[in-house]
Amino acid sequence: MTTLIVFICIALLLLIIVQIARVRDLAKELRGKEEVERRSTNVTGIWLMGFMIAFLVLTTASAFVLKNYFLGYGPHEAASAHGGRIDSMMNWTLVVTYSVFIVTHILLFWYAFKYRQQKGRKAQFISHNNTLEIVWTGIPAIVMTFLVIGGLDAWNDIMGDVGADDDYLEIEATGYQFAWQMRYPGEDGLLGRKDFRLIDGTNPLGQDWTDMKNADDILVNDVVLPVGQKVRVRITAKDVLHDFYLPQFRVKMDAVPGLPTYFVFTPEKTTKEYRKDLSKYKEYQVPDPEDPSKMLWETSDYELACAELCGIGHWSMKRKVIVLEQDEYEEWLAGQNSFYLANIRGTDNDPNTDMLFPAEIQERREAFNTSANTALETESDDDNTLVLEYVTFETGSAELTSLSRYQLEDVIALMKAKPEVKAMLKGHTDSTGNAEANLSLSEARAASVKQFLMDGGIDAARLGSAGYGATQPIETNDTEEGRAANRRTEFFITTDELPQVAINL
Amino acid sequence: MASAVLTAPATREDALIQELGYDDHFHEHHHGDKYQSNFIFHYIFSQDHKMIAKQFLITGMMWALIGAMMSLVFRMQLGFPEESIAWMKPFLGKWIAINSEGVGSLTQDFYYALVTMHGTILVFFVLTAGLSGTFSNLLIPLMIGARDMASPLLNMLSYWFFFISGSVMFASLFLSTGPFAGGWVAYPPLSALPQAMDGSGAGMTLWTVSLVLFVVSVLLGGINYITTVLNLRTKGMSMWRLPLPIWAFFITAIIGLLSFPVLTSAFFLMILDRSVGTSFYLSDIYIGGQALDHVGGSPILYQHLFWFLGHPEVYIIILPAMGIVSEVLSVHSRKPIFGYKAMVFSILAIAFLSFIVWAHHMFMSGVNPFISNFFVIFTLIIAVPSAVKVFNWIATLYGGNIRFNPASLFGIGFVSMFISGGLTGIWLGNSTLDIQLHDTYFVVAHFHIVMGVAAFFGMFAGVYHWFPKLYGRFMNETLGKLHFWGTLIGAYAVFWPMHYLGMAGVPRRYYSFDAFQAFGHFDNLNKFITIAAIITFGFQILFVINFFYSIWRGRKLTERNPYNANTLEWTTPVEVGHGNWPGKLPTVQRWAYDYGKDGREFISQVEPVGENESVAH
Repeated sequence: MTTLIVFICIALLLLIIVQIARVRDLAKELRGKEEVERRSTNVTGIWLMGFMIAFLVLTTASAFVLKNYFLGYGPHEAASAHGGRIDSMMNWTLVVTYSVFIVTHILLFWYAFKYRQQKGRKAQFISHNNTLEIVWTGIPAIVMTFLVIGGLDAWNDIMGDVGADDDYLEIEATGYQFAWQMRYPGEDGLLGRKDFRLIDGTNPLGQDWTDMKNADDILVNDVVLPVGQKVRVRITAKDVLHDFYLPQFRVKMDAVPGLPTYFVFTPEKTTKEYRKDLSKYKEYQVPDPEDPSKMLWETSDYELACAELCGIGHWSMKRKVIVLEQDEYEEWLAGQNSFYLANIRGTDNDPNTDMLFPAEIQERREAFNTSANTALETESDDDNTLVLEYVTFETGSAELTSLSRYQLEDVIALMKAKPEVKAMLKGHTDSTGNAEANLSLSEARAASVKQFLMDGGIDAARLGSAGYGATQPIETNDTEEGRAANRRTEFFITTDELPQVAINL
Repeated sequence: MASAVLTAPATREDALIQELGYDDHFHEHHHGDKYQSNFIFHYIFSQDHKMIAKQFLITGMMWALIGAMMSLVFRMQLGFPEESIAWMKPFLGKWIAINSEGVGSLTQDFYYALVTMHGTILVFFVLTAGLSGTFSNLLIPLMIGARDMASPLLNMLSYWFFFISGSVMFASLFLSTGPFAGGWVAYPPLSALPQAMDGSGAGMTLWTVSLVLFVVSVLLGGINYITTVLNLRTKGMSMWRLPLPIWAFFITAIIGLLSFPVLTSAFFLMILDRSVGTSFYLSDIYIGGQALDHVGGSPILYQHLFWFLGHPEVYIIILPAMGIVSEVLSVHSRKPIFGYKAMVFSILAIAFLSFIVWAHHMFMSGVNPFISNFFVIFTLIIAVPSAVKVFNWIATLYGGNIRFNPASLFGIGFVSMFISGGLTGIWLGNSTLDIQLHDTYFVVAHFHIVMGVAAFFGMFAGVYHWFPKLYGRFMNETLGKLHFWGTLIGAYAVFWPMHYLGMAGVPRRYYSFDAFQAFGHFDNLNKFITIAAIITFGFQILFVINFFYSIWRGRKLTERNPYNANTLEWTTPVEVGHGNWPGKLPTVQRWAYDYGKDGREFISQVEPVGENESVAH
């Protein structure tokens, strides 16, 4: 109902305006056309002058009032090394265009006012003026030349890629509907290969896990950067066009599916310093609307946005950008986990089942050496038996799996380091199947481990092997976990003579 | 018709035409004027250029109203996101989402659909067809002294292809998945994949079909304009005697003829990618939970093809407005246009340069930054001919005796808008600044002022100026001036503050600014813009009322040449029939701009150069 009334009111208002206008035009005819037109011309002339003055004053004043929000002014001087060049180019352009704006507007409206129609005035016949025309073709051409040279000089510096000897951090930003995924290289400093066909629920970027460079890559949501470090952002997209936009750093580049782009920049102001700068301006000394207990400057962050229409959620692709001091950054980085090791390693999606990564090898070696040394240091022989938990065999066979070599190499290293050590290898199975077959399989497996160690350079005299079948379970054989624990290769180490073993079923 | 020849000359110009004109025996071939014999062929399938001009104008106005109302709806979302717009539900149906508290808001899908449709409609249907279609059709034959277009049939088809194109676009508004919503530039992959957005399904199909039909319309019109200007100029009308609007329409048509086919090819490749499974624009895409088969294409190829039209398109829009304003300012200043030849050469320079600057829309799109060097240089060179034009318009006012009427005021307003919007082009054409400004509201402010509002000002100047030629009546002057002031102040109030948003880094095409701290400071500014837009729209309603009221009830035109203008259209009878001149065709003796020469207020183009006359231009 209200809507209807509003519409009716608007319609009536228009009707009134139309009627008044009609009457005015009719009255003009009646009251003597010339006199009315003379007055109307004067009034319009004054309006034009008034408009010109108000326009120039208001545009100038409003820009001045709002200037502390503008990039390049007040607290928003560029937070990146190259950004300063953009800011200064912008100021020069502003000076040039604003002067032209003022001068041409004054001339346009002043001439319109001054040469308004008046009785007895004759228009001058001026068709052209070559000198004048050459001057006002030449001056813009010269000014443009300066702006072009200044602009291109800055442009080519800013957009150049990193050089071969540059020290830089390369990270990757991937846009998708509707968010950003950041990827950091791990310790190797290199980002691994990726392929859009590999993307699935467990692999958001389609990283190729057979590429070892991917193993230490870190996936995070926010952009975290060390201050003063040159950063090369590799920009990619998963589905449609996006644009990697960091307003405060003057960084912007489309993310194009199938065509990785990049932007190189150096952050120069930490988030802390940015907030400190903001705190000096009254625009930011107001309560944060989201959290009124804090001031706006306290909660303000650098932001990553999308600047290329990418669908209905285009406006919401926000990530925080945090710039830290170098040591804080390293601390942060140390706290991040490799996506692969945390989410993929050991799962069905892990193609690298036949190899270990250096960190894993190191970790296992340390654990093995610790328990082996503990065993050797204790007096009692009862504790001298270790389970070689990573030594496994192909199903129903005595052939070692390829992963077994890592632990066996640890064994070899240990025995080489301690020549006095002798070892007995004991094969065990669970209770399923034929007992005799189990016994011979366990003997064969123990022998195959012994053979591996001998191939590794350990004297046969230092090694013994025996199979026990299912005779010495360490867990119940009623559960799968128990049976798994019972299928094992034991490693008995001693500095004394090796015991003789005889098994009776 | 034949009787008109026998009557006594109505004016001095008429007498000159009878004495010196060229007799093409027109009246002997057109007994009874078969083109205007019945209602259908007179008003609907008309082949008369003046009627086709009116059809383009009124269709363009309807589209302008639709496009403007769309902008008001999405401006409500941007200015008053918390205000309930449940009252729009009866008109917009499911596009208004009403929450449990009864507060209605615009859905994201429809927001983007509105933004896209607003752009498409205004750029193509209003500022290309509505502006160039109207005035090229009306003025080319009248100003060059031709009976009609070279091919009236193609001319009629040009309008009807435009009409069908518009109908297809209009139909897409009613699709259940909505019209196309991926921005008027329709960049793939967003526009190519229905999975990416609802509007990229059937909406995009209709959008493409509509625009292909539109290109047909533009080409039919354009080839006609070119042929007519080249072949049907009357005796004595050399190219250097053409009034500036004709130069502008002529060059515009050539630009269109060279660039629109490239857009069509872009659309055909798009259709193949969408329907046949080719990969011109698509590669390495994972969307909707699956990796697509497309590999090897490049989304940037589309951008090149699109902007190869897209940039000349902005000159297709603005050149006719420039031509119109040049004429209107000269006539109402009672002075020759300053630097006629410079004006022509600057049109030619702009037209040439318009073809080698397209990639300045793509500085940040992933093209090799080295390539951008060339595009920066050529782009900023355009500032030179543009500056020349501005200085010439100002110099035209200098020393004049200016009549203030809605036409001349809109002409002055045009110059102001062109300056304001053109200067920000110097910012955006500089790739270094584009790093910061690209895809922000600064761009929105720039192109709305320089090619949106300025082109509208040119169009308004033309409509007010030639309305008597179209309908034999004047538009109401008081309403016209009111319309001018409301539009001038209103348009600046809407678009000027957008520069500020852009300088603060606020990106365009955002449904809401709340997600970001940096973009969320401007609630009041956005409210101000929205209110200004609504008020400015109200002034456009005044124009529409004035327009239709004046068609039937406006002050009657009683004399042939109400403005004391030199050009040929004012030598035709008050009621212009088919064939434009009832008897002989006028022959042209001089250029179009002898105003105030030798103490005479104006000298019509049909008047021979006198013996003692000072040197012609």
